[in-house]
Amino acid sequence: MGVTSKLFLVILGLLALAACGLTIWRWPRLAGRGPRPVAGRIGLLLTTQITVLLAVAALTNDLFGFYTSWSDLFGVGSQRYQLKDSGVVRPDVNAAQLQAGKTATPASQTSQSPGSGPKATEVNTTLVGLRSGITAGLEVFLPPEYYAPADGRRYYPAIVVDDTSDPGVATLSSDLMSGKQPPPQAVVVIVHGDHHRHIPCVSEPDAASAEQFWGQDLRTAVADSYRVRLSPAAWGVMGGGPGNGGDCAIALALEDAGRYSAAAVFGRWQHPGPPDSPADPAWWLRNYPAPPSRLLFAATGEPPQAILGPVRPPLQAMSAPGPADELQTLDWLAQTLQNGAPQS
Amino acid sequence: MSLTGLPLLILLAALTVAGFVAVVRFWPRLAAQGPRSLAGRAGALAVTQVLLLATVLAAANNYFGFYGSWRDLVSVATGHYAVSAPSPLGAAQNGSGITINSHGTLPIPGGADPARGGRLDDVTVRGQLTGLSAHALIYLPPQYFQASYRKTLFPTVIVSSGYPGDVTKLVTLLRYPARLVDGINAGQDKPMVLVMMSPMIISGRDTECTDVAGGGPRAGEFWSVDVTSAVERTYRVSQDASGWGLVGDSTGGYCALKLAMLNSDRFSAAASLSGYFDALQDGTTGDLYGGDPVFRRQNDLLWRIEHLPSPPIAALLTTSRTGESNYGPTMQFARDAKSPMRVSTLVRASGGHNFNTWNAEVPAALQWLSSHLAASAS
Repeated sequence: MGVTSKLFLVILGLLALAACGLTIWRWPRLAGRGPRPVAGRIGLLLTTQITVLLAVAALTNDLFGFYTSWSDLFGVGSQRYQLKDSGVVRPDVNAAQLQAGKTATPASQTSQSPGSGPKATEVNTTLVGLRSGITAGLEVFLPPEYYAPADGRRYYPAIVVDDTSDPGVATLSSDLMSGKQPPPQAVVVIVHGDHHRHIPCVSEPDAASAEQFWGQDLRTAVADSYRVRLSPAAWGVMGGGPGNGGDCAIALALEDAGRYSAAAVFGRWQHPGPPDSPADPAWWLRNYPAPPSRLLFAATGEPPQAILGPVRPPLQAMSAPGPADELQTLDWLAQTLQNGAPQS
Repeated sequence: MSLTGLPLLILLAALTVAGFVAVVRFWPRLAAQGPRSLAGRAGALAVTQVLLLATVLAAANNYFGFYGSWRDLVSVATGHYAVSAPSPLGAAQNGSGITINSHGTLPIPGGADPARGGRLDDVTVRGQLTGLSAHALIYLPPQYFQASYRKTLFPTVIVSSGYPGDVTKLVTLLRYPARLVDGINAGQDKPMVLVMMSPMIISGRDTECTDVAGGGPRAGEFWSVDVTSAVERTYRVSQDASGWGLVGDSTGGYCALKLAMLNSDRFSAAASLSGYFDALQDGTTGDLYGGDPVFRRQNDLLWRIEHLPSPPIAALLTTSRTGESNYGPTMQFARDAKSPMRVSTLVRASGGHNFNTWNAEVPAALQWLSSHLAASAS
């Protein structure tokens, strides 16, 4: 008879009921004086208490499924087990998300065309997200010094540019390669949707895969392929253009502040999502503590507070004074970020 | 008077004995015929029985550590959770987020010397991003205090109790730290830092380590980001996913596996002892998913493993052929997991959902974690 069998439970329940009934029924017979009636009372009362206690304990055990066998209950069962160890995850899985890239500009640029400064190195590659299943085209820009021997151990901040909205940041790529302005001291990653498909962001309906894509796939792929650390202090994100390209940048710096610590919007920014929904940054800031992120609004027109509501520390929101272009916005991000070295 | 500890237990036991004696003593007064006497007898039996049950429950709670405080118990009973509202100014924005309340040691031979027995820190973790806070016990192994490990960034494991569960039982009942020391001395385990917590980070509420929908507590973010980064800022621990793992029993096992699957950039290994896989919602959890079936499904680990890419983590799932209800789901999960995920299983012939089982499995889980996590050099 098992410790959780119906028969056992029924027997215990009946015993408890019988003991209670017997006690109440025989009560007057044990009301006399002297040691024998007193001993009878004690015996009867103890029997009742123990049978009821056992019934309650067995029922509780059955309800929660703690012990399912007698040997388990008394701890005398076999402690043997079979462990099938399937080993560890291949260490290169994160880097392997990037398909072999095509380098557009030679790494060493000893000779430069007159009238232009040092240029970035551009790598075109495809990211196949390990966790999100999302595929994206990446343009990775490495600072001019990246391959210089003296620079070999220097880590850089990383700036993600969300170009998955239509129309996006059209001219940034050619601006970075023009050499007219020095490129930012950061690894810049422009993210394009696969076949111009939009990649969802953390505040959109398919937020779960978006979190995995922007927060984890993209960051681990870049950090395991280039000299970039995963610390949030090293990661910023920019979006812009006449579409809603800035929404994702702001959402990441607010909702995934453990992975992105700065965001910049370039160009017009409208109220993202329905008001008072989780897609509304003001809703987020009302419901949760302000994250230690920095937000820059460049050439957005409206002051950011009109959309964000009150901005409390440690969050900082600022508007770029005067006209700014995309490269200047990138520069601001590069300067506000750190290389993410561990602080000791 | 505290819910746990000797005073309450002694009081209840004394009341139980007094009630018993009183019934025996005043027995003759209820011996008359008639309904009033009958009712009196039934009442006397009921009162003594309730006192006995209360004593037994308090003793069981003391031993197994389900509820650590009256507040936890009352929250569960009433369903009103005393939500510690996030401070509007973002508490703990300065400092590491960890306040060390006291240093302790283990009651093992030579335990008083940290270089031989390690150190047990009683801390409060305040989450910078979520505003949540939790009591935690952090165990630093003996090697943490030895000169030859001065530059080691130790692998770190977050250890979770079940729900309901009190964090101190991870030290006294499941004995994670003492078993780790045994494992290290036997050459089976690497020195690791243990961060021990209960899933009950909001008094009485079972959040299932979920970022609760509709502006609720972001428990998942707290465990995966706030706790890991606060520990990284305070202790000499690995700052890489390859050095971070999780382990827990029951609800703690579900949490361990879910947190690692959802945050595989921060954790690389999770051991789920008798964990379940479904997205629970009941009286103790309250509304976790905001009535959104999509969000609920995303917290169902069997659904995830069947429909979404498998994350780059290693998992150890434990179950038994008889005695556990998670045998079928565990085997299904192991079958459905795809590369690059690695699923190891520990199967016992029999064993229930209880501390005998977990006591038997903790050493194996520590050894498995230690072979899947790596230290790094600073």
